[in-house]
Amino acid sequence: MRRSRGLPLILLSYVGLAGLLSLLDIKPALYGLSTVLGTTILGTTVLGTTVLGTTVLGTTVLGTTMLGTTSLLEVYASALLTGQLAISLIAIGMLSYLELSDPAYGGTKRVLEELRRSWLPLTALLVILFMLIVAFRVWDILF
Amino acid sequence: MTQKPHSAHPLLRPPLNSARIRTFPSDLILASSSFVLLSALSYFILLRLLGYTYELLFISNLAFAAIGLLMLAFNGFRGSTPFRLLYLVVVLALFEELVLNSALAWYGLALAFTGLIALPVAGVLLAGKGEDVRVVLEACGLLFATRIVFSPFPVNLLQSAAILPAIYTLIMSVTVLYVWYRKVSLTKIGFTRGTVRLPLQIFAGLLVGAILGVVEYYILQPQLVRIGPNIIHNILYLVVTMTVFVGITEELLFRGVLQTHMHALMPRWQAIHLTSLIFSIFHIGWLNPLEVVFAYAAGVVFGYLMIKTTSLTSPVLAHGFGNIILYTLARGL
Repeated sequence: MRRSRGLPLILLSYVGLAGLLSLLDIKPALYGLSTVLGTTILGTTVLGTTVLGTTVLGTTVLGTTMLGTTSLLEVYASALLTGQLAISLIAIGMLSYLELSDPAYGGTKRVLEELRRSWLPLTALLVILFMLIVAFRVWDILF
Repeated sequence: MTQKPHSAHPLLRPPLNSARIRTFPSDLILASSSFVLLSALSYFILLRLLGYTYELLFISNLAFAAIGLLMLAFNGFRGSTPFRLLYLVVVLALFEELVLNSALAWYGLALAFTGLIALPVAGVLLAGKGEDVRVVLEACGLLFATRIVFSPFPVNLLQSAAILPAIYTLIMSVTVLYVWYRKVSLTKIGFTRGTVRLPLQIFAGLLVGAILGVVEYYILQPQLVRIGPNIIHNILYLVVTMTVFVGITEELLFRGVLQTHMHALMPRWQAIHLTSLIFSIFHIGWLNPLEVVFAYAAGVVFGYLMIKTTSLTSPVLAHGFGNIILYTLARGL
């Protein structure tokens, strides 16, 4: 497969399909089961309710020491907010680093240049996530 | 006409020593089956002692990772810095997942951020040890990126099934960007027709997927899920999401990028074992220690298919079809 065509095609098909699937609007389907790399975002297993489910882990079979009677929803809502702050700060830090380590300025050490290349994809991801955070905030304010 | 030798393919490179290659499948079978048996045994003993508690989840997963790492340590896993770092990656992933799935979720996210930032730094610092060391450590960093992509979404949106493709698109985007920008060989990571005939790859993928899907259903015993208003939409959603989004993304990341580059650093069975160990640790979110053991076994099968066929086709089909079977059974169809 030619890199120049193959990779953008994969990415475009992903974005297209994701858009198409969101248009299908099948909210009830799979309710209770979806996972992302094993982290259950919705739902229950025989051992209890997981990550972003609305039930309380403390009341399920996997009763808890660490969790007590805290609602998972509250825990994750708070963790996600702190995560958003961290994403914003790290994105700003990484963008600053990318700018400062730009070889065009000259005198940059090879290791720092290599690190710049290594962090670039992650920086791109963080910037996308930051844009999503802003978009959801604006949406929240407007609607 | 001269025929291209098999060894020209990155996955079929000349062996470290011929004896090791000859014993590859038996090494793998012995190591993975004894690991699965030991882990399952320790789980059932702990279950008897602790009952269904959070301690069970915590200690059994700790034991699982410890057994997995000890198996490597006692089987000649070399002790140079990159290898010690891979132990650290497993431990970091383990604690990140355990804490992320508890009331201290924020600390789990903080560990994910640490891995995301620190592992590429380690990769750059150890780049002198070889290109594959750098790629392995950077790929491990990408794994932690999969944990922070949830953060921008409001909690109420995360409860919608439609969010799953969006999250996987983000994970795929960063993986594709990485592969493109760091010029990782597409052939090496499995974007090729492979050395086995395509119909055979498809058949093997579907067969393995069907078996794994049924086994996983009996392990998780998920509750029946509600069926949407339109069955065609639901089936379309299930097939596309599980094959394209879940199957391709996870297999590209784990088997494509991580395993193939680990394979360049260590014997095949160790590469499959370590990749599967990390893969299974990322399944702790199911809060079912047996599912973690199952994910390891599934990872070994996917890894073996990848090495045997040199293509991502059958691991992707096996993974996707397995998930389709799991969800189909859960829907009571």
